[in-house]
Amino acid sequence: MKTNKNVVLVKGYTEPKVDPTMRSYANDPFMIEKLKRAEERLKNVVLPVSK
Amino acid sequence: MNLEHYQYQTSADFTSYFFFSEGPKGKIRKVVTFAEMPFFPSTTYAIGFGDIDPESGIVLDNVITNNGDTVIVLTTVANIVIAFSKRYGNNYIFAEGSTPSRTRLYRICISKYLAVISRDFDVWGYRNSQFVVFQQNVDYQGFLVKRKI
Repeated sequence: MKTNKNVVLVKGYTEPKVDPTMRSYANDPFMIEKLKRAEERLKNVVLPVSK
Repeated sequence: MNLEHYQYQTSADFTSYFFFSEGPKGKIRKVVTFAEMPFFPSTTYAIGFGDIDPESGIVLDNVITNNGDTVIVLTTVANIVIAFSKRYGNNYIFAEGSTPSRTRLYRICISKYLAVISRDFDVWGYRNSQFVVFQQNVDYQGFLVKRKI
């Protein structure tokens, strides 16, 4: 781990820490708009199967 | 994925993840969030990504930050996808840029690190109204990944 000014840079996977002050943005307008655009194009598309 | 990335935090429900990008444009708070795409028969999530406007708190997903850290940011997003998959299961995750140029940037980065990404994920591209196995140097309109079991 090293610090780049005030920001911590890490290597390898680390479990995220929960910040109880942060809310979910899953229902924000930009995501609703993204889902709407995606549905118009993808709703009849077949999902691939993993190898 | 053993590439350098920013440390990140998550909301209590593990659907949104936060980190700071730091570079010539300053310290910019980023959010990566996941929302289910209910129209697919198998559980599939869309991934959204943007800057949090410090004054309004609104997510801006079409700004060009130009903070000189694109690879670190995208590596951070890749690690967040792993974190989300560990919490929510090995489901499909769909990604596309908010603009064609951003989708192209994602495609270039996936191509560059495909060997690394493919260790953990199956990767497909969306092209001609279907998902096909991702290949380098082919244009796609979106991407689908699924963590390997």
